[in-house]
Amino acid sequence: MTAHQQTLQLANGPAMWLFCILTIGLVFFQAWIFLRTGRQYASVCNVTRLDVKRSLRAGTISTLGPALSIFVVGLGLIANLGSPLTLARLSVVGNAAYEASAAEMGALATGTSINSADYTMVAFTASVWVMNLGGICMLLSTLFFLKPLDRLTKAISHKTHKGLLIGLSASLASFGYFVVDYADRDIRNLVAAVIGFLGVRIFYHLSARTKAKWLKEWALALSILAAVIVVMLIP
Amino acid sequence: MEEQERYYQRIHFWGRITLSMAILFFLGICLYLSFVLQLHPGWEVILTAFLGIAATVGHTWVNLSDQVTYLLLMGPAATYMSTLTGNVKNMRLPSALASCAMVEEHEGRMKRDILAAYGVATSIFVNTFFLIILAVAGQFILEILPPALLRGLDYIVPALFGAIFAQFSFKNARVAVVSLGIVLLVYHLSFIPSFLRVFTAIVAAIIANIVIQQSAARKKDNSEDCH
Repeated sequence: MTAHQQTLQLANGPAMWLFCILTIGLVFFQAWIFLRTGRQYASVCNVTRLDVKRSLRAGTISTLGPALSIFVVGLGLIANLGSPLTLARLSVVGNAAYEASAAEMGALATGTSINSADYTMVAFTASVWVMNLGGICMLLSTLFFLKPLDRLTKAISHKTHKGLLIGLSASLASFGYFVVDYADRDIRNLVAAVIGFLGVRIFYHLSARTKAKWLKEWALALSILAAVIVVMLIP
Repeated sequence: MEEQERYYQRIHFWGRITLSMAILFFLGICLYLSFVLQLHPGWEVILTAFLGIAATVGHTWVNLSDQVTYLLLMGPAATYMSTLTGNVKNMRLPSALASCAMVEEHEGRMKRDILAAYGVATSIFVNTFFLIILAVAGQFILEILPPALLRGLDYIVPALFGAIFAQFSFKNARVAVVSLGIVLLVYHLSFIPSFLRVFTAIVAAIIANIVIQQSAARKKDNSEDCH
Protein backbone atom coordinates (compact mmCIF):
# COMPACT_ATOMS: atom_id res chain seq x y z
CA MET A 1 0.00 0.00 0.00
CA THR A 2 1.45 3.40 -0.98
CA ALA A 3 1.59 6.32 1.42
CA HIS A 4 -1.17 8.03 -0.57
CA GLN A 5 -3.47 5.01 -0.21
CA GLN A 6 -2.92 5.04 3.55
CA THR A 7 -3.67 8.75 3.52
CA LEU A 8 -6.91 8.13 1.66
CA GLN A 9 -7.98 5.67 4.34
CA LEU A 10 -7.52 8.39 6.93
CA ALA A 11 -9.09 10.98 4.63
CA ASN A 12 -12.22 8.84 4.21
CA GLY A 13 -12.28 7.82 7.87
CA PRO A 14 -14.79 8.64 10.63
CA ALA A 15 -12.99 11.73 12.02
CA MET A 16 -13.04 13.44 8.65
CA TRP A 17 -16.70 12.50 8.11
CA LEU A 18 -17.57 13.97 11.50
CA PHE A 19 -15.84 17.22 10.53
CA CYS A 20 -17.72 17.18 7.22
CA ILE A 21 -21.11 16.62 8.83
CA LEU A 22 -20.53 19.30 11.48
CA THR A 23 -19.46 21.83 8.85
CA ILE A 24 -22.37 21.22 6.49
CA GLY A 25 -24.67 21.13 9.51
CA LEU A 26 -23.45 24.58 10.52
CA VAL A 27 -24.06 25.94 7.02
CA PHE A 28 -27.63 24.60 7.09
CA PHE A 29 -28.20 25.84 10.62
CA GLN A 30 -27.15 29.36 9.63
CA ALA A 31 -29.37 29.37 6.54
CA TRP A 32 -32.28 28.03 8.58
CA ILE A 33 -31.94 30.62 11.33
CA PHE A 34 -31.77 33.50 8.83
CA LEU A 35 -34.77 32.18 6.91
CA ARG A 36 -36.73 31.85 10.13
CA THR A 37 -35.81 35.37 11.25
CA GLY A 38 -36.75 36.68 7.80
CA ARG A 39 -40.12 34.96 7.97
CA GLN A 40 -40.84 36.40 11.42
CA TYR A 41 -40.29 39.91 10.16
CA ALA A 42 -41.72 39.40 6.67
CA SER A 43 -45.02 41.04 7.52
CA VAL A 44 -43.24 44.24 8.62
CA CYS A 45 -42.19 44.95 5.04
CA ASN A 46 -44.96 43.18 3.08
CA VAL A 47 -43.10 40.17 1.79
CA THR A 48 -45.72 38.14 -0.09
CA ARG A 49 -45.84 34.44 -0.92
CA LEU A 50 -45.21 35.31 -4.55
CA ASP A 51 -42.07 37.26 -3.58
CA VAL A 52 -40.76 34.23 -1.72
CA LYS A 53 -41.57 31.89 -4.61
CA ARG A 54 -39.69 34.15 -7.01
CA SER A 55 -36.69 34.27 -4.69
CA LEU A 56 -36.53 30.51 -4.44
CA ARG A 57 -36.69 30.14 -8.21
CA ALA A 58 -34.12 32.89 -8.83
CA GLY A 59 -31.75 31.34 -6.29
CA THR A 60 -32.03 27.93 -7.93
CA ILE A 61 -31.53 29.15 -11.49
CA SER A 62 -28.53 31.30 -10.60
CA THR A 63 -26.82 28.43 -8.80
CA LEU A 64 -27.22 25.60 -11.31
CA GLY A 65 -24.44 26.59 -13.73
CA PRO A 66 -21.67 27.40 -11.24
CA ALA A 67 -22.64 24.42 -9.06
CA LEU A 68 -22.03 22.11 -12.01
CA SER A 69 -18.60 23.63 -12.69
CA ILE A 70 -17.64 23.16 -9.04
CA PHE A 71 -18.78 19.58 -9.47
CA VAL A 72 -16.16 19.06 -12.17
CA VAL A 73 -13.28 20.49 -10.11
CA GLY A 74 -14.58 18.61 -7.06
CA LEU A 75 -14.10 15.28 -8.81
CA GLY A 76 -10.38 15.94 -9.08
CA LEU A 77 -10.16 16.85 -5.39
CA ILE A 78 -12.05 13.77 -4.22
CA ALA A 79 -9.57 11.49 -5.95
CA ASN A 80 -6.67 13.06 -4.02
CA LEU A 81 -8.11 14.32 -0.73
CA GLY A 82 -11.02 11.98 -0.13
CA SER A 83 -14.75 12.74 -0.08
CA PRO A 84 -15.39 14.26 3.37
CA LEU A 85 -12.69 16.96 3.26
CA THR A 86 -13.65 17.88 -0.31
CA LEU A 87 -17.32 18.00 0.55
CA ALA A 88 -16.74 20.07 3.69
CA ARG A 89 -14.33 22.55 2.13
CA LEU A 90 -16.42 23.03 -1.02
CA SER A 91 -19.46 23.78 1.16
CA VAL A 92 -17.70 26.62 2.93
CA VAL A 93 -15.65 29.70 2.18
CA GLY A 94 -13.13 29.52 -0.64
CA ASN A 95 -13.81 28.37 -4.18
CA ALA A 96 -12.67 25.08 -5.71
CA ALA A 97 -9.55 26.68 -7.20
CA TYR A 98 -8.53 28.05 -3.79
CA GLU A 99 -9.02 24.69 -2.07
CA ALA A 100 -6.92 22.93 -4.69
CA SER A 101 -4.08 25.43 -4.45
CA ALA A 102 -4.13 25.55 -0.63
CA ALA A 103 -3.98 21.74 -0.43
CA GLU A 104 -1.13 21.71 -2.93
CA MET A 105 0.73 24.44 -1.02
CA GLY A 106 0.58 22.34 2.16
CA ALA A 107 1.79 19.25 0.31
CA LEU A 108 4.58 21.24 -1.33
CA ALA A 109 5.90 22.46 2.02
CA THR A 110 6.29 18.83 3.13
CA GLY A 111 8.09 17.99 -0.11
CA THR A 112 5.37 16.19 -2.04
CA SER A 113 2.20 16.96 -4.03
CA ILE A 114 -1.43 15.95 -3.58
CA ASN A 115 -1.53 13.54 -6.49
CA SER A 116 1.74 11.74 -5.89
CA ALA A 117 2.16 8.30 -4.33
CA ASP A 118 4.20 9.67 -1.39
CA TYR A 119 1.45 12.06 -0.22
CA THR A 120 1.68 10.99 3.42
CA MET A 121 -0.75 11.48 6.28
CA VAL A 122 1.55 14.18 7.66
CA ALA A 123 1.46 15.98 4.29
CA PHE A 124 -2.32 15.61 4.30
CA THR A 125 -2.40 17.21 7.76
CA ALA A 126 -0.35 20.12 6.38
CA SER A 127 -2.90 20.50 3.54
CA VAL A 128 -5.78 20.50 6.02
CA TRP A 129 -4.05 23.18 8.12
CA VAL A 130 -3.44 25.48 5.17
CA MET A 131 -6.94 25.09 3.70
CA ASN A 132 -8.55 25.80 7.05
CA LEU A 133 -6.25 28.63 8.16
CA GLY A 134 -6.89 30.42 4.86
CA GLY A 135 -10.61 29.77 5.34
CA ILE A 136 -10.49 31.31 8.82
CA CYS A 137 -8.76 34.42 7.47
CA MET A 138 -11.56 34.83 4.95
CA LEU A 139 -14.14 34.86 7.76
CA LEU A 140 -12.41 37.27 10.14
CA SER A 141 -13.11 40.55 8.43
CA THR A 142 -16.83 39.80 8.10
CA LEU A 143 -16.93 38.61 11.70
CA PHE A 144 -15.46 41.84 13.02
CA PHE A 145 -16.36 44.56 10.53
CA LEU A 146 -19.72 43.74 8.96
CA LYS A 147 -21.76 45.08 11.86
CA PRO A 148 -20.01 48.47 12.12
CA LEU A 149 -20.00 48.81 8.33
CA ASP A 150 -23.73 48.07 8.23
CA ARG A 151 -24.35 50.88 10.73
CA LEU A 152 -22.19 53.20 8.66
CA THR A 153 -23.84 52.54 5.29
CA LYS A 154 -27.29 52.82 6.86
CA ALA A 155 -26.41 56.16 8.42
CA ILE A 156 -25.14 57.47 5.10
CA SER A 157 -28.17 56.42 3.09
CA HIS A 158 -30.44 57.85 5.80
CA LYS A 159 -28.69 61.16 5.69
CA THR A 160 -28.80 61.56 1.93
CA HIS A 161 -32.30 60.08 1.47
CA LYS A 162 -30.88 58.40 -1.57
CA GLY A 163 -30.80 54.83 -0.28
CA LEU A 164 -32.69 53.34 -3.19
CA LEU A 165 -30.81 55.22 -5.86
CA ILE A 166 -27.57 54.12 -4.18
CA GLY A 167 -28.64 50.48 -4.17
CA LEU A 168 -29.80 50.57 -7.79
CA SER A 169 -26.63 52.31 -8.99
CA ALA A 170 -24.49 49.83 -7.07
CA SER A 171 -26.36 46.85 -8.56
CA LEU A 172 -26.20 48.17 -12.11
CA ALA A 173 -22.53 49.12 -11.80
CA SER A 174 -21.45 45.75 -10.41
CA PHE A 175 -23.43 43.73 -12.95
CA GLY A 176 -22.31 46.06 -15.70
CA TYR A 177 -18.76 45.42 -14.57
CA PHE A 178 -19.18 41.63 -14.55
CA VAL A 179 -20.73 41.77 -18.04
CA VAL A 180 -17.89 43.90 -19.41
CA ASP A 181 -15.31 41.68 -17.75
CA TYR A 182 -16.75 38.51 -19.35
CA ALA A 183 -17.49 40.14 -22.71
CA ASP A 184 -13.85 41.22 -22.89
CA ARG A 185 -12.62 37.60 -22.81
CA ASP A 186 -13.87 36.20 -26.11
CA ILE A 187 -16.73 36.28 -28.58
CA ARG A 188 -18.68 33.45 -26.91
CA ASN A 189 -18.78 35.19 -23.56
CA LEU A 190 -19.77 38.41 -25.28
CA VAL A 191 -22.59 36.69 -27.18
CA ALA A 192 -23.81 34.92 -24.03
CA ALA A 193 -23.99 38.20 -22.09
CA VAL A 194 -25.71 40.08 -24.93
CA ILE A 195 -28.31 37.35 -25.52
CA GLY A 196 -28.97 37.18 -21.79
CA PHE A 197 -29.55 40.94 -21.76
CA LEU A 198 -31.68 41.06 -24.92
CA GLY A 199 -33.65 37.98 -23.87
CA VAL A 200 -34.86 39.60 -20.65
CA ARG A 201 -35.65 42.88 -22.39
CA ILE A 202 -37.67 41.02 -25.07
CA PHE A 203 -39.50 38.68 -22.68
CA TYR A 204 -40.42 41.59 -20.37
CA HIS A 205 -41.65 43.54 -23.36
CA LEU A 206 -43.73 40.62 -24.64
CA SER A 207 -45.08 40.02 -21.16
CA ALA A 208 -46.29 43.64 -20.92
CA ARG A 209 -47.80 43.42 -24.42
CA THR A 210 -49.62 40.13 -24.01
CA LYS A 211 -50.31 40.51 -20.28
CA ALA A 212 -48.79 37.03 -19.83
CA LYS A 213 -47.32 37.31 -16.36
CA TRP A 214 -45.65 33.91 -16.43
CA LEU A 215 -43.42 35.15 -19.26
CA LYS A 216 -41.87 37.71 -16.93
CA GLU A 217 -41.41 35.11 -14.21
CA TRP A 218 -39.52 32.78 -16.51
CA ALA A 219 -37.63 35.47 -18.45
CA LEU A 220 -34.36 34.83 -16.61
CA ALA A 221 -34.34 31.07 -17.18
CA LEU A 222 -35.50 31.31 -20.82
CA SER A 223 -32.92 33.98 -21.65
CA ILE A 224 -30.07 31.95 -20.19
CA LEU A 225 -31.24 28.86 -22.04
CA ALA A 226 -31.37 30.85 -25.29
CA ALA A 227 -27.88 32.23 -24.68
CA VAL A 228 -26.39 28.78 -24.00
CA ILE A 229 -28.00 27.34 -27.15
CA VAL A 230 -26.77 30.21 -29.32
CA VAL A 231 -23.23 29.97 -27.93
CA MET A 232 -23.13 26.23 -28.60
CA LEU A 233 -24.05 26.95 -32.24
CA ILE A 234 -20.98 29.20 -32.66
CA PRO A 235 -18.43 27.03 -34.51
CA MET B 1 -38.75 51.31 12.38
CA GLU B 2 -38.08 49.65 15.72
CA GLU B 3 -39.03 46.25 14.29
CA GLN B 4 -36.50 46.78 11.53
CA GLU B 5 -33.82 47.61 14.06
CA ARG B 6 -34.59 44.37 15.92
CA TYR B 7 -34.41 42.30 12.72
CA TYR B 8 -30.93 43.60 11.90
CA GLN B 9 -29.78 43.13 15.52
CA ARG B 10 -30.73 39.46 15.40
CA ILE B 11 -29.07 38.92 12.04
CA HIS B 12 -25.78 40.32 13.32
CA PHE B 13 -26.05 38.32 16.55
CA TRP B 14 -26.52 34.99 14.76
CA GLY B 15 -24.15 35.91 11.96
CA ARG B 16 -21.33 36.44 14.42
CA ILE B 17 -22.11 33.29 16.41
CA THR B 18 -22.17 31.05 13.35
CA LEU B 19 -18.94 32.46 11.91
CA SER B 20 -17.23 31.96 15.28
CA MET B 21 -18.43 28.35 15.38
CA ALA B 22 -17.05 27.80 11.89
CA ILE B 23 -13.63 29.03 13.02
CA LEU B 24 -13.73 26.59 15.96
CA PHE B 25 -14.61 23.67 13.66
CA PHE B 26 -11.84 24.58 11.19
CA LEU B 27 -9.26 24.75 13.97
CA GLY B 28 -10.65 21.65 15.65
CA ILE B 29 -10.00 19.25 12.79
CA CYS B 30 -6.45 20.64 12.35
CA LEU B 31 -5.64 20.22 16.03
CA TYR B 32 -7.18 16.74 16.04
CA LEU B 33 -5.04 15.53 13.14
CA SER B 34 -1.90 17.18 14.52
CA PHE B 35 -2.06 16.28 18.17
CA VAL B 36 -4.57 13.49 18.74
CA LEU B 37 -3.44 11.44 15.74
CA GLN B 38 0.10 12.81 16.15
CA LEU B 39 0.50 13.71 12.49
CA HIS B 40 1.78 17.24 13.14
CA PRO B 41 3.90 18.42 10.18
CA GLY B 42 5.67 21.13 12.24
CA TRP B 43 4.80 24.80 12.65
CA GLU B 44 7.47 25.98 10.21
CA VAL B 45 5.96 23.80 7.46
CA ILE B 46 2.48 25.14 8.15
CA LEU B 47 3.74 28.71 8.31
CA THR B 48 5.68 28.45 5.04
CA ALA B 49 2.70 27.01 3.19
CA PHE B 50 0.33 29.48 4.82
CA LEU B 51 2.48 32.41 3.71
CA GLY B 52 2.40 31.04 0.19
CA ILE B 53 -1.39 31.08 0.24
CA ALA B 54 -1.45 34.49 1.92
CA ALA B 55 0.63 35.90 -0.92
CA THR B 56 -1.83 34.70 -3.55
CA VAL B 57 -5.22 35.35 -1.94
CA GLY B 58 -4.34 37.41 1.17
CA HIS B 59 -5.40 40.70 -0.40
CA THR B 60 -9.01 39.51 -0.26
CA TRP B 61 -8.90 38.83 3.49
CA VAL B 62 -9.46 42.38 4.66
CA ASN B 63 -11.42 43.74 1.78
CA LEU B 64 -13.77 46.25 3.32
CA SER B 65 -14.77 47.59 -0.07
CA ASP B 66 -16.23 44.17 -0.96
CA GLN B 67 -18.17 44.12 2.28
CA VAL B 68 -19.68 47.53 1.66
CA THR B 69 -20.58 46.39 -1.84
CA TYR B 70 -22.31 43.27 -0.51
CA LEU B 71 -24.15 45.22 2.17
CA LEU B 72 -25.46 47.67 -0.40
CA LEU B 73 -26.50 44.92 -2.78
CA MET B 74 -27.91 42.18 -0.57
CA GLY B 75 -27.89 43.19 3.11
CA PRO B 76 -26.22 41.59 6.16
CA ALA B 77 -28.01 38.20 6.35
CA ALA B 78 -27.12 37.29 2.78
CA THR B 79 -23.58 38.59 3.34
CA TYR B 80 -23.00 36.40 6.42
CA MET B 81 -24.25 33.34 4.53
CA SER B 82 -22.15 34.21 1.48
CA THR B 83 -19.05 34.68 3.61
CA LEU B 84 -19.46 31.33 5.31
CA THR B 85 -20.19 29.41 2.11
CA GLY B 86 -17.92 31.20 -0.37
CA ASN B 87 -18.39 31.49 -4.14
CA VAL B 88 -19.81 34.96 -3.56
CA LYS B 89 -19.32 36.58 -6.94
CA ASN B 90 -20.24 33.70 -9.21
CA MET B 91 -23.08 32.18 -7.19
CA ARG B 92 -24.38 33.96 -4.07
CA LEU B 93 -24.45 37.53 -5.34
CA PRO B 94 -26.27 36.62 -8.58
CA SER B 95 -28.76 34.54 -6.55
CA ALA B 96 -29.37 37.38 -4.12
CA LEU B 97 -29.78 39.97 -6.82
CA ALA B 98 -31.97 37.86 -9.05
CA SER B 99 -34.21 37.32 -6.00
CA CYS B 100 -34.70 40.98 -5.28
CA ALA B 101 -34.66 42.30 -8.85
CA MET B 102 -38.47 42.25 -8.76
CA VAL B 103 -38.72 44.40 -5.61
CA GLU B 104 -40.07 47.83 -6.50
CA GLU B 105 -37.97 50.86 -5.66
CA HIS B 106 -40.37 52.28 -3.11
CA GLU B 107 -40.62 49.05 -1.13
CA GLY B 108 -37.41 49.65 0.73
CA ARG B 109 -34.34 48.01 2.02
CA MET B 110 -35.59 45.49 4.53
CA LYS B 111 -37.82 43.65 2.06
CA ARG B 112 -34.93 43.49 -0.37
CA ASP B 113 -32.59 42.16 2.31
CA ILE B 114 -35.04 39.45 3.40
CA LEU B 115 -35.64 38.28 -0.18
CA ALA B 116 -31.89 38.34 -0.90
CA ALA B 117 -31.44 36.06 2.12
CA TYR B 118 -34.06 33.66 0.71
CA GLY B 119 -32.21 33.63 -2.60
CA VAL B 120 -28.83 32.92 -1.02
CA ALA B 121 -30.25 30.23 1.28
CA THR B 122 -31.82 28.49 -1.74
CA SER B 123 -28.52 28.75 -3.55
CA ILE B 124 -26.81 27.07 -0.60
CA PHE B 125 -29.33 24.20 -0.50
CA VAL B 126 -29.05 23.62 -4.26
CA ASN B 127 -25.26 23.75 -4.18
CA THR B 128 -24.99 21.37 -1.23
CA PHE B 129 -27.41 18.99 -2.92
CA PHE B 130 -25.07 18.91 -5.92
CA LEU B 131 -22.03 18.38 -3.71
CA ILE B 132 -23.66 15.41 -2.02
CA ILE B 133 -24.46 13.88 -5.42
CA LEU B 134 -20.86 14.59 -6.34
CA ALA B 135 -19.60 12.60 -3.40
CA VAL B 136 -21.94 9.71 -4.19
CA ALA B 137 -22.00 9.41 -7.98
CA GLY B 138 -19.69 12.03 -9.49
CA GLN B 139 -17.55 10.03 -11.87
CA PHE B 140 -20.47 8.14 -13.34
CA ILE B 141 -22.47 11.30 -14.10
CA LEU B 142 -19.56 13.04 -15.86
CA GLU B 143 -19.15 10.06 -18.14
CA ILE B 144 -22.74 10.09 -19.37
CA LEU B 145 -23.07 13.88 -19.93
CA PRO B 146 -22.39 14.82 -23.58
CA PRO B 147 -19.26 17.03 -23.88
CA ALA B 148 -21.10 19.71 -25.90
CA LEU B 149 -23.43 20.23 -22.93
CA LEU B 150 -20.50 20.54 -20.53
CA ARG B 151 -19.00 23.28 -22.72
CA GLY B 152 -22.28 25.16 -22.87
CA LEU B 153 -22.47 25.23 -19.06
CA ASP B 154 -19.48 27.60 -18.98
CA TYR B 155 -21.58 30.31 -20.58
CA ILE B 156 -24.44 30.27 -18.10
CA VAL B 157 -22.70 32.79 -15.87
CA PRO B 158 -22.09 35.57 -18.45
CA ALA B 159 -25.65 35.09 -19.76
CA LEU B 160 -26.97 35.36 -16.22
CA PHE B 161 -25.07 38.61 -15.62
CA GLY B 162 -26.42 40.12 -18.85
CA ALA B 163 -29.94 39.03 -17.94
CA ILE B 164 -29.82 40.47 -14.41
CA PHE B 165 -28.42 43.73 -15.73
CA ALA B 166 -31.45 43.87 -18.04
CA GLN B 167 -33.83 43.26 -15.11
CA PHE B 168 -32.35 46.15 -13.17
CA SER B 169 -32.30 48.37 -16.25
CA PHE B 170 -36.11 48.23 -16.28
CA LYS B 171 -36.28 50.08 -13.00
CA ASN B 172 -34.53 53.14 -14.31
CA ALA B 173 -33.09 53.21 -17.82
CA ARG B 174 -31.14 56.42 -17.25
CA VAL B 175 -29.37 55.03 -14.20
CA ALA B 176 -28.56 51.89 -16.24
CA VAL B 177 -27.01 53.85 -19.11
CA VAL B 178 -25.00 56.12 -16.80
CA SER B 179 -23.75 53.16 -14.72
CA LEU B 180 -22.69 51.18 -17.80
CA GLY B 181 -20.86 54.20 -19.21
CA ILE B 182 -18.95 54.63 -15.94
CA VAL B 183 -18.15 50.92 -15.81
CA LEU B 184 -16.72 50.97 -19.33
CA LEU B 185 -14.55 53.92 -18.36
CA VAL B 186 -13.30 52.51 -15.04
CA TYR B 187 -12.73 49.06 -16.57
CA HIS B 188 -10.10 50.55 -18.85
CA LEU B 189 -8.31 52.57 -16.14
CA SER B 190 -5.40 50.20 -15.78
CA PHE B 191 -3.71 52.23 -13.02
CA ILE B 192 -6.41 51.12 -10.54
CA PRO B 193 -5.48 47.69 -9.10
CA SER B 194 -7.88 45.12 -10.49
CA PHE B 195 -9.35 44.04 -7.13
CA LEU B 196 -10.38 47.65 -6.43
CA ARG B 197 -11.82 48.39 -9.86
CA VAL B 198 -15.35 47.06 -9.24
CA PHE B 199 -15.61 49.07 -6.05
CA THR B 200 -14.33 52.20 -7.81
CA ALA B 201 -16.90 51.69 -10.56
CA ILE B 202 -19.69 51.29 -7.99
CA VAL B 203 -18.77 54.40 -6.03
CA ALA B 204 -18.32 56.45 -9.21
CA ALA B 205 -21.69 55.25 -10.54
CA ILE B 206 -23.43 56.12 -7.25
CA ILE B 207 -21.96 59.61 -7.22
CA ALA B 208 -22.69 60.24 -10.89
CA ASN B 209 -26.30 59.10 -10.57
CA ILE B 210 -26.94 61.19 -7.47
CA VAL B 211 -25.44 64.27 -9.12
CA ILE B 212 -27.47 63.74 -12.28
CA GLN B 213 -30.68 63.16 -10.35
CA GLN B 214 -30.16 66.29 -8.28
CA SER B 215 -29.42 68.46 -11.27
CA ALA B 216 -32.48 67.06 -13.03
CA ALA B 217 -34.60 67.83 -9.96
CA ARG B 218 -33.20 71.36 -9.82
CA LYS B 219 -33.97 71.95 -13.49
CA LYS B 220 -37.52 70.81 -12.88
CA ASP B 221 -37.83 73.18 -9.91
CA ASN B 222 -36.54 76.07 -11.98
CA SER B 223 -38.93 75.48 -14.84
CA GLU B 224 -41.81 75.26 -12.36
CA ASP B 225 -40.75 78.60 -10.85
CA CYS B 226 -41.01 80.25 -14.25
CA HIS B 227 -44.66 79.36 -14.63
